[in-house]
Amino acid sequence: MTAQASSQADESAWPLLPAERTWGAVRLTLTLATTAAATWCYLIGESVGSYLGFIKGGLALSAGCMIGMVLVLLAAGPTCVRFGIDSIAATKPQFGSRGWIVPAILQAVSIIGWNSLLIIFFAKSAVQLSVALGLLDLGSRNAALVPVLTVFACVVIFTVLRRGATGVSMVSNILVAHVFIGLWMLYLLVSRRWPELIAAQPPGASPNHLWNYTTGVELGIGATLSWWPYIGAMIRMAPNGRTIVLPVMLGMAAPVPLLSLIGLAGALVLKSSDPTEWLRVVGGPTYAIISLTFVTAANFGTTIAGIYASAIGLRNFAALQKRTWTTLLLITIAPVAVVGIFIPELFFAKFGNFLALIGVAFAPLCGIQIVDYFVLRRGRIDIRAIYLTAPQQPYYFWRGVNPAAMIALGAGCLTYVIFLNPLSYDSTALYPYLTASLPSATAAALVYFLASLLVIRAGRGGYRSGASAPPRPPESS
Amino acid sequence: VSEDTGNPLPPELEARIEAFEVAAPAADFGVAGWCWMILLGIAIPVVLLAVGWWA
Repeated sequence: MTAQASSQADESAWPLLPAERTWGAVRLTLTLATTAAATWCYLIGESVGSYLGFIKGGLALSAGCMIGMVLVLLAAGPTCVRFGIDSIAATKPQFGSRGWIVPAILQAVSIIGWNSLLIIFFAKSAVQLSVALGLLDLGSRNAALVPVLTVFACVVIFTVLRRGATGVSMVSNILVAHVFIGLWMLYLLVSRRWPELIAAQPPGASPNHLWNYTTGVELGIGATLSWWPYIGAMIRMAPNGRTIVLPVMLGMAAPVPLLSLIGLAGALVLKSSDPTEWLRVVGGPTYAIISLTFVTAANFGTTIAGIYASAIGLRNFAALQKRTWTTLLLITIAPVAVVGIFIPELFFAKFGNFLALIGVAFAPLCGIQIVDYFVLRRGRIDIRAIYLTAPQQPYYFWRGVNPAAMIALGAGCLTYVIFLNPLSYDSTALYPYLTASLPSATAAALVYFLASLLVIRAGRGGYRSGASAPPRPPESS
Repeated sequence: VSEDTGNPLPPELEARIEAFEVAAPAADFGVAGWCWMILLGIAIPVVLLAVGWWA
C-alpha cells in the first residue's frame, strides 16, 4: 500500500489496513479525552445539578456515563475496529446499502448541532478572554466580534483538518492539558466552597428521590450515547480491538463526569455552570483568564474531532466519494459557520430541545447494532458487501433498506418517549427503576431480533452466507 | 462508486477488501477487553450507584 493510498484511506470511508492504524493506547486515550472534554460537560453537570446534590449527582452521572459508553462501544466498536471503518459504514449490515442514510442523517444533525454550540462558545469565550486580558473594552459592540471569531475558528479547523486524522491527533496532544486545568478548577471550587456545596439543594428536584437519582443516571447515559457518531472515526485508527477498551472507557467515559462536576458544583453553589463566570468570583481575574483559555481550547479540540468524524461520514455518500477531502471539509464546516454567524442566539435558545430529540435515537441504534453483531451474525461481517449496493448483494435487503432496522428504530424511539418525554420530562411509573435509554435500547434490540427472523427466513441480509473474511473472488458488475 | 452504476470498486478499495478477505478474521475486543468492559461498564457503575444511593 503506497503512502498516497494510506493518506487517501485516512480521509475516506475505506477500511484502514492494520499497518495503517498507528494510534496506540496513549494516543487514542488523549484524542478521545480531548474529544469528550468540552463545554457540554458544564451543561450536562448543570442539568444533573437541577435534580441531585454534589455527591449523589457525581456518582449517578459517573455510573450513567460508564454504562452509556459500554453501549456505544458494544454497538459501533467491533465492526469499526476490526475493519478500520467509521460508525456510519458500520451500520450498513443493519440498515442496508441505502438505509444507512438514516443513521448518517442522525450523525450529521447531531455533530453539526454540537459543533455549532461549541464554536459559538469558542467565539464568545475568545471575546471574554480578550476583555479579561485588556485587549478589548467591555461593550455591546463586542458581540459583533462573535461572527468574525466564528469564521476565524472555522478557517483554523479547516487548516488543521487538511492533514486528516493526523491533524486531529496533533491538536489533541496539545489540548489534552485542558482536562487537567479543568480538574484544577474543580479543586478550587470544592476546596473553597465545600460546606456550601454539601448543603446546596438542587432547585428542580422531584419529591421522588429515586426519580431524581435515575434522572442523573439517564443524563449520563444520554451524554455518552452522543459519542456514537464520533467513536468510529477515532477507534478505526487503533490497530486492533484489544487495545481500545481502556482508552475508550478512560479517555471518553471518565473525563465527562469529572468535568461535569465543574458545572454541577457551579450550578449548585453559584447558580452558574459556566466557570468563566464563577471563577472570577472565586479566584479573581487571573483565574478567569486561565478558565477562559481552558474553555476556548476545549471547544476547539472537540470541534476539530467532530468535523473530522462528520467529513468521514460524508464519504459514504456515492456522490461524495470522488470529491476532494477539501471539498468534504467545506461541506461539513459550512453549516456550522452559518449557524454561528447568523443565528447564534436563536440556536442557543432552542438547543435543549434539539439535543433531547437527537438523543432519543442513539439508544435504539445501539440496541440494534449490538443484537445484530453479537446475536444474529455472531461477528460475521462481509466487508465487501458494505461497499456494494447492487440488488444481489447481502446488505441490499429490499430496495437497499432493511425494514427490520427501521421498525426497530421506531419502536425504540417510541419506547424512550413513553418512558421519558425528553421535552417535558414526564415519565412512566417504571422509569425510576429502569431509566429510559436502557428500555429503549432493549425494545429496539428485541423488535430487531424478532423482525430479523423474518428477514433471515426470506434469505435477505446475508445472515446465512455472511462471513467475516472468507477468500472470495471480487464481484464484477 | 457502486455496482448500481455498473462500475467496479476503485482499485485501491478493492485491494483493501481483498486484504481483509485473505487474512484471518480479526478479533473484536479480546478476553482482556471484555474483562475491562465488564469491570468498567457494569461492576463499577453498580458499585457507584449503590454508594451514591446510600450516601
